[in-house]
Amino acid sequence: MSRAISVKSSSLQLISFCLALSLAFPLWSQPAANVYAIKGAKVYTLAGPAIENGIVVIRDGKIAAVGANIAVPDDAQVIDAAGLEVYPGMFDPITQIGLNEVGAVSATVDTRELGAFNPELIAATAVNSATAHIPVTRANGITEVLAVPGIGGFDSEGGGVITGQASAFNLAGWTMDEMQIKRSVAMVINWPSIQTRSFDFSTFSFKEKPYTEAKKEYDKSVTELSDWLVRARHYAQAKEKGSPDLFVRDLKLEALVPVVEGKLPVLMVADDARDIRNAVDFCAKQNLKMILASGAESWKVKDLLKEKKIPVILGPTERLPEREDVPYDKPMTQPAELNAAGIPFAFSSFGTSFSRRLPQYAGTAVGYGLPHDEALKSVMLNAAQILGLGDQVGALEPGKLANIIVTSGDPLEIQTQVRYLFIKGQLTSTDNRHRDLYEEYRKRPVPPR
Amino acid sequence: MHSHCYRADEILMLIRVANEFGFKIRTFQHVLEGYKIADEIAASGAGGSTFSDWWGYKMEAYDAIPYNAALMTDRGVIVSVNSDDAEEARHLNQEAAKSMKYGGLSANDALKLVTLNPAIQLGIDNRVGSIDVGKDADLAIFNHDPLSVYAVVQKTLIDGRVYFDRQRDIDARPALEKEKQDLLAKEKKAAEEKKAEGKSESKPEKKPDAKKKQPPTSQGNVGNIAGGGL
Repeated sequence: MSRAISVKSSSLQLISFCLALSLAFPLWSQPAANVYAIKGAKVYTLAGPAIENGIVVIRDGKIAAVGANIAVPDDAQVIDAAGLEVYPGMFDPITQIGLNEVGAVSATVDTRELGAFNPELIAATAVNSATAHIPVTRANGITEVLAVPGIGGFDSEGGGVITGQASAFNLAGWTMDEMQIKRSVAMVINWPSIQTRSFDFSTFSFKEKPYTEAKKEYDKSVTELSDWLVRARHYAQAKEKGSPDLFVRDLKLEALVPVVEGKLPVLMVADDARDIRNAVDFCAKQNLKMILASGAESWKVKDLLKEKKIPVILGPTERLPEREDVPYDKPMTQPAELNAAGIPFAFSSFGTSFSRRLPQYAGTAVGYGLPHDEALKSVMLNAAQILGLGDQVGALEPGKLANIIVTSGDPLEIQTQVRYLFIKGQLTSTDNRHRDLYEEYRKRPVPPR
Repeated sequence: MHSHCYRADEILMLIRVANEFGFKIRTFQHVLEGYKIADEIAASGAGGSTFSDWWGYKMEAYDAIPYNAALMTDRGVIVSVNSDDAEEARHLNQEAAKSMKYGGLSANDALKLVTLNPAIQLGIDNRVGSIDVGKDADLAIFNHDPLSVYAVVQKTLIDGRVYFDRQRDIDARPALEKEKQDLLAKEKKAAEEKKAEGKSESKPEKKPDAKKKQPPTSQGNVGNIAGGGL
């Protein structure tokens, strides 16, 4: 609203405009409050058992208190949520939100750069904070995402190896600086798969190549990848111990230093069991902290993932089995299998326009054996913990960012509505491009015949 | 005649052409902007078969909204929700439920989007689309309300015959896995024998074909979009 108001020149006009606003507009359009209290709802904190008739107090963007018998501060704006349910907002940990507006219009897609090794790229630099995808996505209860360069999306094939750094941000705010949770969360590596068959978008068909050729390409990529890491180690040594006169700054190698030091995790994209094994082996030898991304055949390497303590960010349950001899329901039962094996995992959309389907992916997995409370964690808490952001988001606990959804019921169920949305402690509108178009055309008078 | 389309203007264009040349459009397929001209579509007598919530993948899908099916239904269009994709077709029941959330359709009207309405659009509702005496026994048995995300198909019957039975499918898996392992072992043994034979005759070594991997059948990370005709 402040944008609209700032263009008004006459102060009288401004006053009457503000007056009209306060009467005509709902809560989230009114001047920002710092203190809220959500009252009367069942509160699922994900940090302990659910609280019947609970109260959540929000102050200065953070959760101040959660409980059944806590005082509502005098200065709080009270949200009566009787009959509703309160949860942490959902976290989609692999998206191209802000990097991809219209998939087929290349001028609106900024998910990658030329070249196979671009560790210095940071997604946050390119995120368009005014994208229509943000209000559409948050309206379905997703309050924060990770924007990931170089994977997923419409043009995902034939991409780079090191594609840049993923950035975590809240789905509300005027600029990326305001929205950012953490600028550099993980380094993205597409594990070089031995691919004899690939999809070519220019001809919209599959291309085949001999195994020997594919293996040669694979070996070359892995060698290159190793070389980059070796050079980053040498660079770190030179920077620390070498002569300052001879030291030449290299942004690509500098970006890789926290990776080789094991401080910045690697978001390693792999699907085939063989690729996952190779990637795990590689990371162990290179001392890299690995998070497996996509992991379609994680179920085949459960023991390895468990032993090496590697968490998984799974793609949608809505996909076909990877091979013809895999059971038809494997994509839906895999989450339950990983859970039973004690492997931490989170769901993600790997997309932009599909990000709002996140709760549907988890809900589907419940139908195929994943316990409901684990499914809630897999779209709210687990991504935050896996990505090292568990101190900031993921559960309703004092001190954490107040990213909160108030729903009409079970947030994994398709028909459930998000009634109130808090992002960084601000009551945030669920209006979006889709609802606007709906309301606009719903009002269209019946045209004369 | 069914017509593939996206934008409102191109749909209106075809309605005019149809009027001029005296043919009928039975159903507009995809019809992503159908909600903008639902009255014109209803007046033309055509139906609309749309996606649940796909949008933004190309320019002509930028105004696609998940309220499309509900708004067209409210304005008197016979509406179905289609999958356009081998994977999406596996959970059309979930996709239909989205029209309850977006646009407030009743449970009955939402179910019709993926049962009776497509049958009407194809002109086969005298045989399929509802459970009625005399109709084909094409039935799906769910363990929950099919409009719930938790519903799992237990049995699928076509013409009264059980084509899919979840328990039967699960029960058959160990035997299939054993068969696969046996075949792999056999292939491995054959390859080793061939190798030994080759060595004794000092022929050049050849890699066994059994190692060659089958390409994935799914679209992988590309998601639902790559598989369909869009």
